[in-house]
Amino acid sequence: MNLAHIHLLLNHFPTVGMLVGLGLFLISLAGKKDDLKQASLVVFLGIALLALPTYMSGNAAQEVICKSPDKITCTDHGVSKALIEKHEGAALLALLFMEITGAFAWLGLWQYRRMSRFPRGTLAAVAFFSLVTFGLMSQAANIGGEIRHPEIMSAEEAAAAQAAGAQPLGRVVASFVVAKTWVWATCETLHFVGLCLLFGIASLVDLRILGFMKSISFSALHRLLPWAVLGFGINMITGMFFFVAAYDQYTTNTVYQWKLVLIMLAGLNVLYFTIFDEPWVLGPGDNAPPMAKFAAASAMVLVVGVIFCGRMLPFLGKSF
Amino acid sequence: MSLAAMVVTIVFGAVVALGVVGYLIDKSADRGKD
Repeated sequence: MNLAHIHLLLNHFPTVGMLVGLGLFLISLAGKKDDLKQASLVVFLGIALLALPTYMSGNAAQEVICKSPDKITCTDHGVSKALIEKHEGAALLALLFMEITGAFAWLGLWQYRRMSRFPRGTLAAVAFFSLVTFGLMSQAANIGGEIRHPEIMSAEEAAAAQAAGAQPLGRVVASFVVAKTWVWATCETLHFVGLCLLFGIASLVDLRILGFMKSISFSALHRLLPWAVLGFGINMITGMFFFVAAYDQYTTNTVYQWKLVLIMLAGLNVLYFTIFDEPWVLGPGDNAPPMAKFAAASAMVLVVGVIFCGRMLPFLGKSF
Repeated sequence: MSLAAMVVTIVFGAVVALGVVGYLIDKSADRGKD
């Protein structure tokens, strides 16, 4: 099994998952069912997380089938490099909207925990962005399917796929990041700002659950979670700039693959602390139940693991 | 504009924008509570 195989496995989740999430969400709005709203927002959040390895394994798949020395054509002559890059551009745009949908879904879950109701503005934002994302995901998936299945393309589409045409989005972003020296330096600095927010707040929450600072209630610390998620958002945007510009540095890097797995697991942890009852009911002086302590301890290990893998990219993974 | 000045300006601009977004989200937690 290689990463191309992983991409084939994962690439159905964003499109089919969005359809499931969107269906649940619309039914929950029509039936005014808060439980169903909560479930659909969790689906959106899960898809937003899964979309990251789906996108990244796509570049790895490209590396597997397009290793020709000229870097213009593919080693496998049955596939078109131009079409792969068109798919990459469509997927990047879909990923951007998916992450915005995921961010609003998370915000809705956080607000529901605090207010016991979903603010209309947040639900409207989720509805809008999830609809747009579903359209963009379907388009990206369709182009992806055409790479190996020319039989689903019309003659005009097949001719257009072979032509160079306008530069796709992924390559435009890559040229921008590589050509402007300030972009990498700025993103690197912001990546550390995001890291500090995320690590600082995660540590406070985890330490409280583990038994430190017991005079603080969990709901007081829950108030800080949006700052940690904003930190994660900064890191995802800046990290994507790095990845899109030099994906070959990452796709072949085992340390980076570990980093991504740890990010996925840490995302599940954030979900636990955002919506579950066990930590939420912890008042001042209360001792956390074992499940919450396990989640807090694992969160600390995961976040430190993500930082370690990120830092070790040039040393263990031989990037840059 | 020099490279350093450009990076500093964008980083501080982004941090201010982050502060504004964070403040608005934080404020949203109070709405509808009373």
